[in-house]
Amino acid sequence: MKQTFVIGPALAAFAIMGAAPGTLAADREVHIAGFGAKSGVVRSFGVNTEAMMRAAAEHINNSGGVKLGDGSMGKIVVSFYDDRCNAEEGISVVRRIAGTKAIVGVGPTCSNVAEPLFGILQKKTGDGKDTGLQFPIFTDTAIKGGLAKISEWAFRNVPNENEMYQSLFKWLRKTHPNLKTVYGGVEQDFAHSRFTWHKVMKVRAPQAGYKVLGEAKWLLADTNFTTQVRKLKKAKADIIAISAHPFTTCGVLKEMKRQRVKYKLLVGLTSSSSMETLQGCAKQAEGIIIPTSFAPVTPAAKVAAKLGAKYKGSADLHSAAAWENMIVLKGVIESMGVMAKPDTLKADRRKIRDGLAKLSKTGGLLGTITRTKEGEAIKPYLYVHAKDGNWAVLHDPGK
Amino acid sequence: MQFWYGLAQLIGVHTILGLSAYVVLQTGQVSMAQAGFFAIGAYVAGMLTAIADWHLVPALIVGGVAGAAVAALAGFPALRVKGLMFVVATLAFGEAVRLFWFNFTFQVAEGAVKLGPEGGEGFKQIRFFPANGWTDLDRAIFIWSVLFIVMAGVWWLDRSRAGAVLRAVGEDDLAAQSVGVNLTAVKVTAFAIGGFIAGIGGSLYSHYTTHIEHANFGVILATFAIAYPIVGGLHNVFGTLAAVIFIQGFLVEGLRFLGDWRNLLFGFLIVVAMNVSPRGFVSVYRDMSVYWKRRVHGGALLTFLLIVAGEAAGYSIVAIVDGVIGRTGLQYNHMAWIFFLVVWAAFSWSGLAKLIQMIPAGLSRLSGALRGTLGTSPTRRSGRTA
Amino acid sequence: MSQFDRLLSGVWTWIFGDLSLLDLVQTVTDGLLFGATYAIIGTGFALIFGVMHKINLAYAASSIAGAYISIAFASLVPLPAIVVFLLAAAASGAVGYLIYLTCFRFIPTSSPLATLMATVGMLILIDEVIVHETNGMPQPYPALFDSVMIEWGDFGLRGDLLFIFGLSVVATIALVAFLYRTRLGVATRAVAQQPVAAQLCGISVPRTNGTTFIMAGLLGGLAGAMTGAAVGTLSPLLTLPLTVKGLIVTVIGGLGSIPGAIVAGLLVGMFENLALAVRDVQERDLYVMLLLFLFLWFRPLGIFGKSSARD
Repeated sequence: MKQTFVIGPALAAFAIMGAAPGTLAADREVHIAGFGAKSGVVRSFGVNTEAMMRAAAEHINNSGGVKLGDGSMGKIVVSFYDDRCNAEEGISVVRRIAGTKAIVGVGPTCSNVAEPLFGILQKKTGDGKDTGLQFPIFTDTAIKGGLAKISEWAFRNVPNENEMYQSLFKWLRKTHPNLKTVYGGVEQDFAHSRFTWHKVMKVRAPQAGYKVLGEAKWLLADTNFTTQVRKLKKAKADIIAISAHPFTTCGVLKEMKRQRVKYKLLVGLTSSSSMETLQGCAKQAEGIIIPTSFAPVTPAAKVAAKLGAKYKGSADLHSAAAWENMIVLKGVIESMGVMAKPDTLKADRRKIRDGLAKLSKTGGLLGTITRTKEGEAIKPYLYVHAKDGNWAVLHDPGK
Repeated sequence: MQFWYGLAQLIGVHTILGLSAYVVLQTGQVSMAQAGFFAIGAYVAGMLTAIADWHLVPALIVGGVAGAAVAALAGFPALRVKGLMFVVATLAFGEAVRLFWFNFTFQVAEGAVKLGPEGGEGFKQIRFFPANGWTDLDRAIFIWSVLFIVMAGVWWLDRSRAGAVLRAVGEDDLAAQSVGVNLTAVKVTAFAIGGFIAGIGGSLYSHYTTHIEHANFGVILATFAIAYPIVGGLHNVFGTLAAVIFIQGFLVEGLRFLGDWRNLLFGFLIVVAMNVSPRGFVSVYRDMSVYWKRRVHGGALLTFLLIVAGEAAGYSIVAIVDGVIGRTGLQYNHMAWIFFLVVWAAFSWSGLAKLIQMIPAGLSRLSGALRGTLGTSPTRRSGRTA
Repeated sequence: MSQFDRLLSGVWTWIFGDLSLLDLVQTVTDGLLFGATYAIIGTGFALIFGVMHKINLAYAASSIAGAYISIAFASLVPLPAIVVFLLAAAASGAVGYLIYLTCFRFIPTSSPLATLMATVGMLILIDEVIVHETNGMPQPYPALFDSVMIEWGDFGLRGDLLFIFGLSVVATIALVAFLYRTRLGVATRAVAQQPVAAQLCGISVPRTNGTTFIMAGLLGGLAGAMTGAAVGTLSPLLTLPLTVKGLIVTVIGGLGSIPGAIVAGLLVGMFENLALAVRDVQERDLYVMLLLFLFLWFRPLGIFGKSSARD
């Protein structure tokens, strides 16, 4: 059929699609691929993660590089892919990365990508019948609870929100004994914020002795909060806990100011302890308390933040995790004897996975991080609050 | 290799989605509801295989039938309106379906694990493929087999009398009505067929991603669904396939090495594609083919070779620059601008000619428009421009 | 309480839950007021879709882009809010002309699908440029009267939304005056209804359309600025929902009708807020779609649609 000749351009288009970054492969390069969202409202996350990964690679390479299995030194080479916070593209990107020389993937940014992505990985190592992808993923940002247990090839270095909010509410109860009630606000259509209110904050606050008076709900792209804030105002709660991302958090806070809602304390979502919230509504967010797993308070953290700024990224709890991942991976490469040769690719990936699974403790920018059997992390954290347009440390529960 | 199989799966599923919009477009209606029927197929088939332990093939068929049933029901009221109102009505319907799944929870406990869709949380663990040992290649072959059947079905529909009736309604429904065509029946049937195809596509989609949620089936997917047949051309099914390969294969995956520029080029290249080939890729191919067939024996073969040559030239340029950059360590971002334009133009040989022709013509028109003189003559192709 | 009172309050609670009458009035008022933002963008949509019969899916994107460009200037030089709004209008007019050039000028009118797709491409491109330049981060937008609340006891009206409503009424009057009292307006309508006859009368089709796109852009930029002011922050998240709302408002109001767009905007705003208060936020948009379907079924011409606007 003549029209089948249209397949001709299709075949050639297939060829074009294979154009991967073609650096001349020098020997003994250790390829680590990052992937995350560099498009849409979450673009800043991807930009920061890439910056911190490249900064960490530079830091490691300048100190001599990584020691490989046969004693020689290798350089870390970072490549970064944009998955646009889209599940299909995330899966495609990881499959593409698995076809390159990368021995591990760091990402994704979005929890709605992580969940399907982990679903296409091999569930249990050594299960011959399971045809899932055999490629280790070490997540820096996607924070929705309980995802690493989906696959034995998935590991995460994200803060444990359960732990953080439990201790935050306990501490608030101790330091502000006269405050007794909490009212929640939640972004219903985003995996992370939804989970954090319903399964974390709403559970931990009563456990600490607070009474939850109600919850206000809205959607990620909402612009009108008058009805929800009116109900919130009537409840007259002491503490308002907002589990939402910067855009709607700012919208709600502005509406609260407009309706002159009186509250004693504001608690926010971990992801909103970034530049975005301060960029959008520094004045209205003044005083909001957020538990976070990063602030530039230790020497190591300050070095990381400075180097990341060189690559035009800012260090926050998500991108700092990317830096930590690189350092952890260096340790795993060295301890497992990764060879970084073209013919040891499959073995190297398995070594990385096994190495990550074996870890019970890793170093982090704020202190030691404990790793769980499920592949999750328990990270040291502190409480920050928005003060004069900056995030300042309010309290370090570790001390 | 797994990347290519995965990409083939993605292209297969998206082509099925595109074909569902293609059938409805034949009757002259732009349906933004195809993502909704896609979602219905995805959830229904997912529930059948994950909760009721059905095999994929019967689940696919039920998914398709569910899509067709809802489409037929929605078709009756929706097809009372035409044109822009129909676009908005179907857009709203697609969103309504998505919101339905946003609120829908149906979970069955199997031991410690709960299976099934859970409203805003989504529907996780649709593990028919990995649990039954299907490799990436198996899945790609399966999806393309389904695609082949769907394409063959639509191809046959196009070539049959029913297809002629569809196109008649699309060209001029008043004239069609005056020769005795029952407009409502034809439009609803086309809509139902589109719903069936979209349901099948969706069924495959949920198994290929293993996890679905309402946000996957929004306005953006609905836009892609109509983009494929419009960019590809409404003349035959291969246009849709070519458009899916262009958009998903070239624009989304192929341009990855451009880093950040890829996202900017996405929208830009679609605008360029529409200006250069307003009736779709297939129409460009056909025009070239007609041109060469008149002048040379074996013109059809020559057309094919020219297009392949254009592709190869484009790829060689990409590879050379790729290699040059690799050796010299230059940043991609600066070089990329120049040669991707060449690649696109090479993709459509007559597009290159048109592009070159457009520059002086466009400049003079622009200066004319800006200086406020009377507009120049209409374009060569057909009639008035806006 | 008599039996009748009990029955009445039972029915009330069944429909409205624990909302009191005051709550209900407040909810309806809040919705109507916020609907002013939909009304003002609906007016622009009504011009493009209703009068010119052109499908420009990038319209909301160009409006928001105008607002972004205005704060880009405002970050260089401190400017009063009014100037920022006017800048937004001007910038959006320029973007509107760009959309005209890339999507309508050179594509033959026999290919309406191609223009549709081209505007989709421009929508994606504009969104990406915005995301690129701002890294996706929300940008605060200046507002007029945003802390003004007109209050009677528990009942409150947002002052800034009243201002926006007033502005959209003024914009509608200006637009209607333009279309029916100026030569360019007559030319626009002529070109939309009978392009060949218009050309025979000596009207330049490309020039008229180009100018009208600029005017629609100006209106859209104002709408974008007002939306940004009402929300307080600009985000790329605004584009798609605004496009969908604008389309719905245009259809409900009647495709050829500009005052219809205002009424429909207010109606949609009110209905949306009412659905939110009475039902859950997750179901809210379902009810808006239901409203649209009801109109399409019972009154496909919209609130003020003229039969000549049926396409």
